[in-house]
Amino acid sequence: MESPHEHQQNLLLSRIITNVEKLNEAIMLLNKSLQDINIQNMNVELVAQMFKNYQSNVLFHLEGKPNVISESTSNLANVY
Amino acid sequence: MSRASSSSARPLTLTEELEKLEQSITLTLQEIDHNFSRAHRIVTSSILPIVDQYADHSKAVWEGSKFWKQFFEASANVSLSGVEEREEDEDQSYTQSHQDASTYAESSRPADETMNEESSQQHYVDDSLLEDGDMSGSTPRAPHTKTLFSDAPRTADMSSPYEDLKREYKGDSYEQDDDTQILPTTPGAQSRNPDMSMTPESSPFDPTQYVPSNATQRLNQDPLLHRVLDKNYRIQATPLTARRENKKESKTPSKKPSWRDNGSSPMSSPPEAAPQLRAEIFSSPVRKQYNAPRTPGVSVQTPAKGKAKEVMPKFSKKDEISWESDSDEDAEGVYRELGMSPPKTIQFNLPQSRLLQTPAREASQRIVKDLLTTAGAGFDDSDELDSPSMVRMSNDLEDSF
Repeated sequence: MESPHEHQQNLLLSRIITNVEKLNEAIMLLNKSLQDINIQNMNVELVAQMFKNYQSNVLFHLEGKPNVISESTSNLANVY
Repeated sequence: MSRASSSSARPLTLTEELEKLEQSITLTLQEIDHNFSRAHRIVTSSILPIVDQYADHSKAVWEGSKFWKQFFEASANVSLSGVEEREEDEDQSYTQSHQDASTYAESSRPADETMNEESSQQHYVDDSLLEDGDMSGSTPRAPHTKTLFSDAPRTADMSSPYEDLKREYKGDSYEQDDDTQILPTTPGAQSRNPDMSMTPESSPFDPTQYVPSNATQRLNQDPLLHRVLDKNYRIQATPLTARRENKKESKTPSKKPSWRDNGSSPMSSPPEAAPQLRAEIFSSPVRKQYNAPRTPGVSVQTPAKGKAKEVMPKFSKKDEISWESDSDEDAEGVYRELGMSPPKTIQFNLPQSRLLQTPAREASQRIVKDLLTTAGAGFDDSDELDSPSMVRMSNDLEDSF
Protein backbone atom coordinates (compact mmCIF):
# COMPACT_ATOMS: atom_id res chain seq x y z
CA MET A 1 0.00 0.00 0.00
CA GLU A 2 3.03 2.25 -0.01
CA SER A 3 2.67 4.94 -2.59
CA PRO A 4 5.46 5.27 -5.14
CA HIS A 5 5.86 8.91 -4.29
CA GLU A 6 6.54 8.16 -0.67
CA HIS A 7 9.11 5.59 -1.60
CA GLN A 8 10.82 8.01 -3.92
CA GLN A 9 10.75 10.75 -1.34
CA ASN A 10 12.26 8.47 1.25
CA LEU A 11 15.08 7.66 -1.12
CA LEU A 12 15.56 11.30 -1.87
CA LEU A 13 15.64 12.16 1.83
CA SER A 14 18.27 9.55 2.51
CA ARG A 15 20.32 10.91 -0.35
CA ILE A 16 19.95 14.40 1.03
CA ILE A 17 21.06 13.20 4.45
CA THR A 18 24.18 11.60 3.08
CA ASN A 19 24.94 14.65 1.01
CA VAL A 20 24.53 16.91 4.01
CA GLU A 21 26.83 14.71 6.03
CA LYS A 22 29.46 14.94 3.32
CA LEU A 23 29.04 18.67 3.08
CA ASN A 24 29.32 18.96 6.83
CA GLU A 25 32.58 17.09 6.85
CA ALA A 26 33.93 19.23 4.05
CA ILE A 27 32.97 22.41 5.82
CA MET A 28 34.49 21.19 9.04
CA LEU A 29 37.71 20.59 7.17
CA LEU A 30 37.44 24.04 5.69
CA ASN A 31 36.83 25.57 9.10
CA LYS A 32 39.78 23.80 10.58
CA SER A 33 42.12 24.92 7.87
CA LEU A 34 40.81 28.46 8.07
CA GLN A 35 41.33 28.46 11.81
CA ASP A 36 44.91 27.36 11.37
CA ILE A 37 45.42 30.06 8.81
CA ASN A 38 43.93 32.62 11.16
CA ILE A 39 46.25 31.62 13.95
CA GLN A 40 49.18 31.88 11.59
CA ASN A 41 48.08 35.23 10.33
CA MET A 42 47.67 36.57 13.83
CA ASN A 43 51.42 36.47 14.21
CA VAL A 44 51.81 38.29 10.92
CA GLU A 45 49.34 40.86 12.11
CA LEU A 46 51.31 41.26 15.32
CA VAL A 47 54.40 41.96 13.30
CA ALA A 48 52.53 44.44 11.14
CA GLN A 49 51.19 46.28 14.15
CA MET A 50 54.61 46.35 15.73
CA PHE A 51 56.02 47.84 12.57
CA LYS A 52 53.21 50.34 12.51
CA ASN A 53 53.95 51.36 16.05
CA TYR A 54 57.61 51.53 15.28
CA GLN A 55 56.92 53.77 12.34
CA SER A 56 54.75 56.07 14.40
CA ASN A 57 57.44 56.19 17.07
CA VAL A 58 60.06 57.02 14.49
CA LEU A 59 57.88 59.73 13.03
CA PHE A 60 57.23 61.16 16.46
CA HIS A 61 60.90 61.10 17.24
CA LEU A 62 61.81 62.75 13.96
CA GLU A 63 59.15 65.40 14.31
CA GLY A 64 60.78 66.38 17.55
CA LYS A 65 63.98 67.07 15.66
CA PRO A 66 63.12 69.18 12.65
CA ASN A 67 66.71 70.26 12.19
CA VAL A 68 67.86 66.72 11.78
CA ILE A 69 65.21 66.07 9.17
CA SER A 70 66.05 69.17 7.24
CA GLU A 71 69.73 68.35 7.38
CA SER A 72 69.18 64.78 6.28
CA THR A 73 66.91 65.85 3.45
CA SER A 74 69.40 68.43 2.36
CA ASN A 75 72.12 65.82 2.49
CA LEU A 76 70.00 63.48 0.46
CA ALA A 77 69.32 66.24 -2.02
CA ASN A 78 73.03 66.82 -2.27
CA VAL A 79 73.66 63.17 -2.81
CA TYR A 80 71.15 62.89 -5.56
CA MET B 1 -25.57 14.78 -16.21
CA SER B 2 -23.62 17.86 -15.77
CA ARG B 3 -23.99 17.56 -12.00
CA ALA B 4 -22.85 13.96 -12.16
CA SER B 5 -19.91 14.83 -14.32
CA SER B 6 -18.97 17.64 -12.01
CA SER B 7 -19.29 15.40 -8.98
CA SER B 8 -17.18 12.78 -10.70
CA ALA B 9 -14.66 15.43 -11.76
CA ARG B 10 -14.13 16.75 -8.21
CA PRO B 11 -12.52 13.65 -6.72
CA LEU B 12 -10.41 13.41 -9.83
CA THR B 13 -9.12 16.90 -9.29
CA LEU B 14 -8.43 16.12 -5.66
CA THR B 15 -6.34 13.12 -6.53
CA GLU B 16 -4.74 15.08 -9.28
CA GLU B 17 -3.89 17.82 -6.88
CA LEU B 18 -2.48 15.26 -4.50
CA GLU B 19 -0.44 13.80 -7.30
CA LYS B 20 0.69 17.22 -8.29
CA LEU B 21 1.70 17.99 -4.76
CA GLU B 22 3.61 14.77 -4.45
CA GLN B 23 5.41 15.45 -7.69
CA SER B 24 6.29 18.93 -6.63
CA ILE B 25 7.55 17.60 -3.32
CA THR B 26 9.76 15.10 -5.06
CA LEU B 27 10.95 17.75 -7.43
CA THR B 28 11.82 20.05 -4.56
CA LEU B 29 13.58 17.25 -2.77
CA GLN B 30 15.53 16.48 -5.89
CA GLU B 31 16.46 20.11 -6.21
CA ILE B 32 17.54 20.20 -2.60
CA ASP B 33 19.60 17.09 -3.10
CA HIS B 34 21.13 18.53 -6.21
CA ASN B 35 21.97 21.76 -4.44
CA PHE B 36 23.58 19.97 -1.54
CA SER B 37 25.63 17.79 -3.81
CA ARG B 38 26.69 20.80 -5.80
CA ALA B 39 27.67 22.63 -2.64
CA HIS B 40 29.71 19.67 -1.54
CA ARG B 41 31.36 19.50 -4.93
CA ILE B 42 32.17 23.19 -4.89
CA VAL B 43 33.59 23.05 -1.39
CA THR B 44 35.73 20.02 -2.00
CA SER B 45 36.84 20.75 -5.54
CA SER B 46 37.34 24.48 -5.64
CA ILE B 47 37.38 26.03 -2.17
CA LEU B 48 39.51 23.58 -0.27
CA PRO B 49 42.44 23.64 -2.73
CA ILE B 50 42.37 27.41 -2.75
CA VAL B 51 42.36 27.50 1.01
CA ASP B 52 45.26 25.09 1.11
CA GLN B 53 47.11 27.29 -1.32
CA TYR B 54 46.31 30.28 0.84
CA ALA B 55 47.62 28.43 3.86
CA ASP B 56 50.87 27.77 2.07
CA HIS B 57 51.21 31.39 1.06
CA SER B 58 50.39 32.67 4.52
CA LYS B 59 52.90 30.25 5.92
CA ALA B 60 55.48 31.69 3.59
CA VAL B 61 54.55 35.18 4.73
CA TRP B 62 54.91 34.13 8.33
CA GLU B 63 58.27 32.59 7.60
CA GLY B 64 59.33 35.89 6.13
CA SER B 65 58.11 37.95 9.04
CA LYS B 66 59.21 35.59 11.76
CA PHE B 67 62.57 37.25 12.00
CA TRP B 68 61.03 40.65 12.61
CA LYS B 69 58.76 39.31 15.31
CA GLN B 70 61.73 37.83 17.08
CA PHE B 71 63.56 41.08 16.54
CA PHE B 72 60.84 43.15 18.18
CA GLU B 73 60.38 40.62 20.93
CA ALA B 74 64.06 40.69 21.71
CA SER B 75 64.09 44.45 21.69
CA ALA B 76 61.11 44.70 24.02
CA ASN B 77 62.27 41.76 26.14
CA VAL B 78 58.88 40.07 25.96
CA SER B 79 57.45 37.14 24.13
CA LEU B 80 54.24 37.84 22.30
CA SER B 81 51.81 35.18 21.25
CA GLY B 82 48.24 35.00 20.18
CA VAL B 83 46.28 32.98 22.66
CA GLU B 84 42.94 31.40 22.06
CA GLU B 85 40.53 31.44 24.92
CA ARG B 86 39.12 28.02 25.49
CA GLU B 87 36.82 28.55 28.41
CA GLU B 88 33.67 29.29 26.52
CA ASP B 89 31.37 27.53 28.93
CA GLU B 90 32.75 29.40 31.85
CA ASP B 91 32.52 32.50 29.81
CA GLN B 92 28.86 31.98 29.18
CA SER B 93 28.16 31.08 32.75
CA TYR B 94 30.09 34.12 33.78
CA THR B 95 28.01 36.39 31.61
CA GLN B 96 24.85 34.75 32.74
CA SER B 97 25.71 35.10 36.37
CA HIS B 98 26.76 38.62 35.74
CA GLN B 99 23.50 39.36 34.06
CA ASP B 100 21.61 37.83 36.92
CA ALA B 101 23.52 39.88 39.37
CA SER B 102 22.94 42.95 37.33
CA THR B 103 19.23 42.29 37.16
CA TYR B 104 19.25 41.73 40.85
CA ALA B 105 20.99 44.97 41.36
CA GLU B 106 18.83 46.64 38.80
CA SER B 107 15.70 45.91 40.78
CA SER B 108 16.94 48.20 43.48
CA ARG B 109 18.56 50.46 41.02
CA PRO B 110 16.32 53.04 39.34
CA ALA B 111 15.88 55.26 42.36
CA ASP B 112 19.63 55.37 42.79
CA GLU B 113 20.16 56.24 39.18
CA THR B 114 17.74 59.06 39.25
CA MET B 115 19.32 60.34 42.39
CA ASN B 116 22.71 60.00 40.82
CA GLU B 117 21.62 61.93 37.80
CA GLU B 118 20.12 64.67 39.87
CA SER B 119 23.11 64.93 42.09
CA SER B 120 25.36 64.84 39.04
CA GLN B 121 23.56 67.72 37.47
CA GLN B 122 23.63 69.69 40.66
CA HIS B 123 27.21 69.00 41.36
CA TYR B 124 28.24 69.62 37.82
CA VAL B 125 27.28 73.23 38.28
CA ASP B 126 29.22 73.32 41.51
CA ASP B 127 32.23 71.75 39.90
CA SER B 128 32.16 74.13 37.02
CA LEU B 129 32.31 76.90 39.55
CA LEU B 130 35.10 75.26 41.47
CA GLU B 131 37.01 74.11 38.45
CA ASP B 132 39.69 76.72 38.52
CA GLY B 133 40.54 76.94 42.16
CA ASP B 134 39.90 73.58 43.76
CA MET B 135 42.49 71.00 42.88
CA SER B 136 40.92 68.33 45.04
CA GLY B 137 37.96 68.27 42.70
CA SER B 138 40.13 67.21 39.83
CA THR B 139 41.82 64.29 41.51
CA PRO B 140 38.77 62.23 42.43
CA ARG B 141 37.45 62.67 38.94
CA ALA B 142 39.38 59.74 37.63
CA PRO B 143 38.06 57.09 40.05
CA HIS B 144 34.57 58.23 39.47
CA THR B 145 34.87 57.75 35.78
CA LYS B 146 35.67 54.17 36.60
CA THR B 147 32.54 53.74 38.63
CA LEU B 148 30.41 55.19 35.93
CA PHE B 149 32.29 53.14 33.43
CA SER B 150 31.35 50.05 35.30
CA ASP B 151 27.80 51.30 35.27
CA ALA B 152 27.78 51.55 31.53
CA PRO B 153 28.43 47.88 30.65
CA ARG B 154 25.85 46.82 33.15
CA THR B 155 23.13 48.65 31.36
CA ALA B 156 24.55 47.27 28.14
CA ASP B 157 24.23 43.81 29.62
CA MET B 158 20.69 44.48 30.48
CA SER B 159 19.87 45.40 26.94
CA SER B 160 21.34 42.36 25.20
CA PRO B 161 24.67 40.59 24.96
CA TYR B 162 24.46 41.05 21.22
CA GLU B 163 24.85 44.76 21.67
CA ASP B 164 28.01 44.11 23.62
CA LEU B 165 29.30 42.12 20.72
CA LYS B 166 28.31 44.81 18.32
CA ARG B 167 30.00 47.46 20.38
CA GLU B 168 33.17 45.44 20.54
CA TYR B 169 33.04 44.90 16.83
CA LYS B 170 32.49 48.52 16.13
CA GLY B 171 35.38 49.12 18.39
CA ASP B 172 36.69 52.20 19.87
CA SER B 173 34.97 55.14 18.31
CA TYR B 174 31.82 54.01 19.95
CA GLU B 175 33.55 53.66 23.26
CA GLN B 176 35.04 57.04 22.89
CA ASP B 177 31.61 58.36 22.32
CA ASP B 178 30.68 56.70 25.54
CA ASP B 179 33.53 58.44 27.25
CA THR B 180 32.51 61.76 25.95
CA GLN B 181 29.00 61.12 27.01
CA ILE B 182 29.93 59.97 30.43
CA LEU B 183 32.64 62.41 31.22
CA PRO B 184 30.52 65.50 31.69
CA THR B 185 28.40 63.68 34.21
CA THR B 186 31.37 62.28 36.07
CA PRO B 187 32.30 65.21 38.23
CA GLY B 188 28.81 65.42 39.54
CA ALA B 189 28.24 62.13 41.25
CA GLN B 190 31.77 61.70 42.41
CA SER B 191 31.31 63.37 45.75
CA ARG B 192 27.86 61.95 46.19
CA ASN B 193 28.80 58.39 45.54
CA PRO B 194 30.47 57.82 48.90
CA ASP B 195 27.24 58.98 50.48
CA MET B 196 25.35 56.51 48.35
CA SER B 197 27.68 53.75 49.38
CA MET B 198 26.72 54.34 52.97
CA THR B 199 23.11 53.51 52.20
CA PRO B 200 22.15 49.85 52.56
CA GLU B 201 20.70 49.75 49.04
CA SER B 202 24.06 50.14 47.43
CA SER B 203 25.67 47.34 49.38
CA PRO B 204 24.36 44.55 47.13
CA PHE B 205 25.36 46.73 44.24
CA ASP B 206 28.99 46.80 45.16
CA PRO B 207 29.86 43.15 44.41
CA THR B 208 28.36 43.50 40.97
CA GLN B 209 30.65 46.40 40.48
CA TYR B 210 33.53 44.33 41.67
CA VAL B 211 33.04 41.66 39.05
CA PRO B 212 33.47 43.81 35.94
CA SER B 213 36.38 45.57 37.53
CA ASN B 214 38.07 42.20 37.78
CA ALA B 215 37.32 41.57 34.15
CA THR B 216 38.84 44.84 33.12
CA GLN B 217 41.92 44.13 35.17
CA ARG B 218 42.38 40.84 33.43
CA LEU B 219 41.87 42.49 30.14
CA ASN B 220 44.53 44.95 30.92
CA GLN B 221 46.93 42.07 30.87
CA ASP B 222 45.78 40.60 27.60
CA PRO B 223 44.28 42.84 25.00
CA LEU B 224 41.73 41.37 22.67
CA LEU B 225 43.05 40.77 19.21
CA HIS B 226 40.20 39.08 17.42
CA ARG B 227 36.87 37.65 18.14
CA VAL B 228 35.81 34.88 15.81
CA LEU B 229 32.41 33.43 16.61
CA ASP B 230 32.64 32.33 20.22
CA LYS B 231 36.39 32.40 20.53
CA ASN B 232 38.47 35.28 21.69
CA TYR B 233 42.00 35.60 20.50
CA ARG B 234 44.20 37.58 22.81
CA ILE B 235 47.72 38.79 22.77
CA GLN B 236 49.73 37.33 25.53
CA ALA B 237 52.83 39.29 26.40
CA THR B 238 55.02 37.52 28.88
CA PRO B 239 58.29 39.05 30.02
CA LEU B 240 61.14 36.77 29.18
CA THR B 241 62.55 36.65 32.69
CA ALA B 242 59.22 36.50 34.45
CA ARG B 243 57.65 33.27 35.50
CA ARG B 244 54.83 31.62 33.62
CA GLU B 245 52.19 32.18 36.24
CA ASN B 246 50.57 34.81 34.07
CA LYS B 247 49.40 32.21 31.60
CA LYS B 248 46.54 31.10 33.76
CA GLU B 249 45.37 34.62 34.19
CA SER B 250 45.51 35.22 30.51
CA LYS B 251 43.10 32.40 29.86
CA THR B 252 40.59 33.51 32.41
CA PRO B 253 37.27 34.45 30.89
CA SER B 254 36.79 38.11 30.39
CA LYS B 255 34.07 39.48 28.25
CA LYS B 256 34.08 43.22 28.14
CA PRO B 257 37.14 45.11 27.01
CA SER B 258 35.71 48.42 28.09
CA TRP B 259 39.13 49.92 28.75
CA ARG B 260 40.39 49.56 25.22
CA ASP B 261 41.70 52.65 23.63
CA ASN B 262 41.74 53.67 20.04
CA GLY B 263 43.60 51.30 17.77
CA SER B 264 43.82 48.65 20.47
CA SER B 265 47.39 48.14 19.52
CA PRO B 266 49.06 45.07 20.93
CA MET B 267 51.99 47.13 21.97
CA SER B 268 49.97 48.52 24.82
CA SER B 269 50.68 45.39 26.78
CA PRO B 270 54.46 45.42 27.12
CA PRO B 271 54.56 48.64 29.17
CA GLU B 272 52.25 46.94 31.61
CA ALA B 273 54.49 43.94 31.83
CA ALA B 274 57.49 46.08 32.54
CA PRO B 275 56.57 47.00 36.14
CA GLN B 276 56.35 43.31 36.97
CA LEU B 277 59.90 42.95 35.86
CA ARG B 278 61.01 45.82 38.02
CA ALA B 279 59.11 44.53 40.98
CA GLU B 280 60.89 41.23 40.69
CA ILE B 281 64.19 42.96 40.41
CA PHE B 282 63.57 44.99 43.52
CA SER B 283 62.37 41.99 45.42
CA SER B 284 65.22 39.84 44.24
CA PRO B 285 67.58 38.58 46.91
CA VAL B 286 70.47 40.45 45.37
CA ARG B 287 69.23 43.72 46.63
CA LYS B 288 68.38 42.26 49.99
CA GLN B 289 71.83 40.95 50.35
CA TYR B 290 72.92 44.41 49.54
CA ASN B 291 70.66 45.75 52.23
CA ALA B 292 71.69 43.21 54.77
CA PRO B 293 75.08 44.61 55.75
CA ARG B 294 73.45 47.88 56.72
CA THR B 295 71.98 46.16 59.76
CA PRO B 296 74.68 43.73 60.67
CA GLY B 297 73.41 42.90 64.14
CA VAL B 298 70.09 41.62 62.96
CA SER B 299 71.18 40.50 59.56
CA VAL B 300 69.95 36.96 59.89
CA GLN B 301 66.40 37.79 60.77
CA THR B 302 65.71 41.18 59.32
CA PRO B 303 62.60 41.30 57.25
CA ALA B 304 62.83 43.71 54.39
CA LYS B 305 59.38 45.02 55.14
CA GLY B 306 57.97 46.07 58.43
CA LYS B 307 55.92 43.02 59.44
CA ALA B 308 58.50 41.36 61.61
CA LYS B 309 56.22 39.78 64.16
CA GLU B 310 54.10 37.96 61.64
CA VAL B 311 56.96 36.61 59.64
CA MET B 312 59.31 35.61 62.42
CA PRO B 313 57.85 32.18 63.33
CA LYS B 314 57.48 31.22 59.70
CA PHE B 315 60.95 32.24 58.89
CA SER B 316 62.77 29.60 60.89
CA LYS B 317 60.82 26.82 59.19
CA LYS B 318 61.19 28.20 55.75
CA ASP B 319 64.81 28.85 56.40
CA GLU B 320 65.56 25.20 57.00
CA ILE B 321 63.50 24.15 54.07
CA SER B 322 65.15 26.54 51.75
CA TRP B 323 68.62 25.45 52.70
CA GLU B 324 67.75 21.81 52.48
CA SER B 325 66.70 22.35 48.92
CA ASP B 326 69.60 22.30 46.55
CA SER B 327 68.57 24.82 43.94
CA ASP B 328 69.13 28.45 44.60
CA GLU B 329 65.98 29.51 42.85
CA ASP B 330 63.77 27.81 45.38
CA ALA B 331 65.50 29.59 48.19
CA GLU B 332 65.12 32.84 46.36
CA GLY B 333 61.44 32.17 45.91
CA VAL B 334 60.99 31.46 49.60
CA TYR B 335 62.78 34.61 50.58
CA ARG B 336 60.86 36.56 48.02
CA GLU B 337 57.63 35.31 49.52
CA LEU B 338 58.75 36.20 52.97
CA GLY B 339 60.18 39.51 51.91
CA MET B 340 63.35 38.86 53.90
CA SER B 341 67.00 39.00 53.38
CA PRO B 342 68.72 35.64 53.19
CA PRO B 343 70.80 34.58 56.17
CA LYS B 344 74.51 34.99 56.19
CA THR B 345 75.92 32.95 59.04
CA ILE B 346 74.36 29.68 58.09
CA GLN B 347 77.23 28.60 55.91
CA PHE B 348 79.11 27.18 58.88
CA ASN B 349 76.61 24.41 59.36
CA LEU B 350 76.79 23.13 55.83
CA PRO B 351 78.70 20.10 54.63
CA GLN B 352 81.36 20.56 52.01
CA SER B 353 79.30 19.16 49.20
CA ARG B 354 76.71 21.86 49.65
CA LEU B 355 79.26 24.52 50.21
CA LEU B 356 80.43 23.91 46.69
CA GLN B 357 76.94 24.80 45.53
CA THR B 358 76.57 27.88 47.65
CA PRO B 359 77.71 31.33 46.50
CA ALA B 360 80.90 30.87 48.54
CA ARG B 361 82.46 29.45 45.42
CA GLU B 362 81.80 32.59 43.45
CA ALA B 363 82.87 34.67 46.40
CA SER B 364 86.18 32.84 46.58
CA GLN B 365 86.66 33.38 42.87
CA ARG B 366 86.06 37.07 43.32
CA ILE B 367 88.45 37.22 46.24
CA VAL B 368 91.12 35.51 44.21
CA LYS B 369 90.46 37.83 41.32
CA ASP B 370 90.70 40.90 43.52
CA LEU B 371 93.89 39.64 45.11
CA LEU B 372 95.44 39.00 41.73
CA THR B 373 94.42 42.35 40.36
CA THR B 374 95.77 44.17 43.38
CA ALA B 375 98.96 42.14 43.11
CA GLY B 376 99.25 43.26 39.50
CA ALA B 377 98.66 39.96 37.78
CA GLY B 378 95.83 39.43 35.38
CA PHE B 379 93.00 37.08 36.15
CA ASP B 380 93.03 34.51 33.42
CA ASP B 381 90.57 31.81 32.64
CA SER B 382 93.15 29.30 33.70
CA ASP B 383 92.72 30.59 37.22
CA GLU B 384 89.23 29.27 37.31
CA LEU B 385 90.68 25.82 37.33
CA ASP B 386 92.31 26.67 40.58
CA SER B 387 89.21 28.04 42.16
CA PRO B 388 87.85 24.73 43.48
CA SER B 389 91.08 24.21 45.30
CA MET B 390 90.68 27.64 46.77
CA VAL B 391 87.19 26.73 47.82
CA ARG B 392 88.47 23.61 49.42
CA MET B 393 91.03 25.59 51.25
CA SER B 394 88.39 27.95 52.48
CA ASN B 395 86.27 25.01 53.49
CA ASP B 396 89.11 23.65 55.49
CA LEU B 397 89.48 26.97 57.10
CA GLU B 398 85.80 27.14 57.92
CA ASP B 399 85.84 23.62 59.28
CA SER B 400 88.68 24.59 61.51
CA PHE B 401 86.35 27.07 63.16
